[in-house]
Amino acid sequence: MDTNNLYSTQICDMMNIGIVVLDKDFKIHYWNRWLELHSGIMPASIVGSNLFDFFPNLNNPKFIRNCKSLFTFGNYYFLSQKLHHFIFPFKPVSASEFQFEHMQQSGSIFPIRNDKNEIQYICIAVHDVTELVAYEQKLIEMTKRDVLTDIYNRRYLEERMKDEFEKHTRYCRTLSLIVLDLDHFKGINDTCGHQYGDYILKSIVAVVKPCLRTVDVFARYGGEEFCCLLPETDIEAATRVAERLKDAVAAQEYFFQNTLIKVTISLGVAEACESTRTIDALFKNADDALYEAKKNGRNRVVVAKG
Amino acid sequence: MNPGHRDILTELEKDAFKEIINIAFGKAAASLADIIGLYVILSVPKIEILQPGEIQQFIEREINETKGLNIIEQYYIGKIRGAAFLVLSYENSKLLLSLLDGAEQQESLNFSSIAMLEQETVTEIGNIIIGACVSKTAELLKDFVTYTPPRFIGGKFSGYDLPQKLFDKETYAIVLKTLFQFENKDISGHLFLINSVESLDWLKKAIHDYMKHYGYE
Amino acid sequence: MIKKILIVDDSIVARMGLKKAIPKDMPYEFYEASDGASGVEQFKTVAPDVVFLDLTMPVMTGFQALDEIMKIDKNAAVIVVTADIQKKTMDRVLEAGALLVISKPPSQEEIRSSLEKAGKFKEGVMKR
Ligand SMILES: [Mg+2]
Repeated sequence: MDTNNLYSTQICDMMNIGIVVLDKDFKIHYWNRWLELHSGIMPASIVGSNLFDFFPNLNNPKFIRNCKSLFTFGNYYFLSQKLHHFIFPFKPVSASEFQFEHMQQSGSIFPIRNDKNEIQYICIAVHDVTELVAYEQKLIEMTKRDVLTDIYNRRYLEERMKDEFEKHTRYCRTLSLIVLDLDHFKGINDTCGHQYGDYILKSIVAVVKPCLRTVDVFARYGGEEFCCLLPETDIEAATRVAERLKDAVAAQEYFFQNTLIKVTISLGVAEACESTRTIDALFKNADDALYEAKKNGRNRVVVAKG
Repeated sequence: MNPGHRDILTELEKDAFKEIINIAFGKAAASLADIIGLYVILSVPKIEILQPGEIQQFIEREINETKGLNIIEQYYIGKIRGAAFLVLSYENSKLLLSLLDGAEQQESLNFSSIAMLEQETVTEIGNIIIGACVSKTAELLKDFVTYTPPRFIGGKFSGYDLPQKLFDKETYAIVLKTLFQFENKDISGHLFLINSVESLDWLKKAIHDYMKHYGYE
Repeated sequence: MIKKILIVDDSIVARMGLKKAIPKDMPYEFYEASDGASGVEQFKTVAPDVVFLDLTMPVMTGFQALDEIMKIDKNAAVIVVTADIQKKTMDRVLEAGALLVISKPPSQEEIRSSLEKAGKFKEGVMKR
């Protein structure tokens, strides 16, 4: 073995990527140590076998088409994690990556030429990108959440309102919206301080959340205003939910420096109907109803006139 | 040869290079038909010698539409080197996907990821088309090239998309443009190959060798 | 007997190459056109014995030119010389009436034997 060859074999075995070499018939000619480690398959038992015997998930027209193109044109084929998630179905390495069933991989396939410049083999190089994807998902999740209360934020609410309204108009699904606002919150902030105000906001969220279903979207719209988007819910059911929320909040007792503080909420309820052509119109109906509730003495539910 | 000159290729050399491209793309089309099962209507390529600053305008002029584009970009490096851009309109990208297995997969995925899936699939097809055309051209010129991963650019083409390492402002680039049409499907795309003049001497020699070999010279 | 040869190709280099590949044993007359439309015009005025026709050309493609030529003379001897080696293309031009299809770049031998075939076809010894 010449030195060059000696180096390359060692490099291929030491590198933190998976390397497999195939011929035109998808027979495996090389299987590096990384692959051995993650698959538990020794080179001796896989070299000489057909790739698809071990990994039937790759036996699909798309993969074959791209490999054919590689042998014909000598181009590269890139397998992105976004599209493929994985090439080889391996277990994730670290236990903390619980959300993935498989190690997330990205890879590239490139041609290997012989000394006559003919493409004799193709090589698949595989990277473990599970950690990166986990970070990405965490970041995406963060963009949906309100920092203080950890429920959804206004950005995510608006996205979901658009989607749900689309479903309502396209498939005639019922859809209701509750807009709720803490009564006299400014007074709490002024007398008890913002820290205590924040505590109240978090407490209210803790009271409201268990009253809702998982399919409902509960979000902080801003300040002390919250929204509950209720898919597949008509106005009667939504009103019952709103009443329940009002009572649940009113039943709570808070103390600030040994003084009892009662917190109440006002709620406006609206259902998407023929006159609400846009999601903004639905929101306005609920918001107008909330305004009525405030005007009529607070701690009450007002249903928008359809 | 001074690369800072617009006449870096003679009319005859341009003509010969166009013929080479014709033959290369003909071979590419025949192999593509085998791989993606589509019949390609070949068209007459266009060659322009341009400064990097002029390329964006040229591309905008050649494709009537400048907004709503899906562009797949890939660099190739061999003795010939440069950037390839496959430019498709949104409509064409959608049609192209419907012909391939992308369509079935889309249904199993949720709504928000369809755009991404489309992007990835168009990029994949772009990778095959660019690879076919560039590798057959390189083959005829007795060269072989390696590629960078394909990159998807949505929206419009801008001059900033050209790598400065390959395209010095002071020099010229040999820009090749051809129209790709898939029969009966109303799908067309423009393929631009922007060759750096770094390899001009080699390219000229390869063109002349080719002409000699086939008795054209 | 072949005397007048019309070469239709948008590439000067391709026309030059083709002429060079034609055997010098006969005093052929050459006519050239650089696109399909002027190729058809030349065909009308010159009435060549054989036409070498390219397919990818501006103004009028070789596919269209072939149709026009066959309309003018259903016994025309047209040899398509093309870079388009897709099977469907070959089938299509043969269907449209081309005598032969040669892929680019043509070899001297291919040109020589195609001329021979065109000659036999013109004399009526050989069918399409
Ligand atoms: Mg041509």
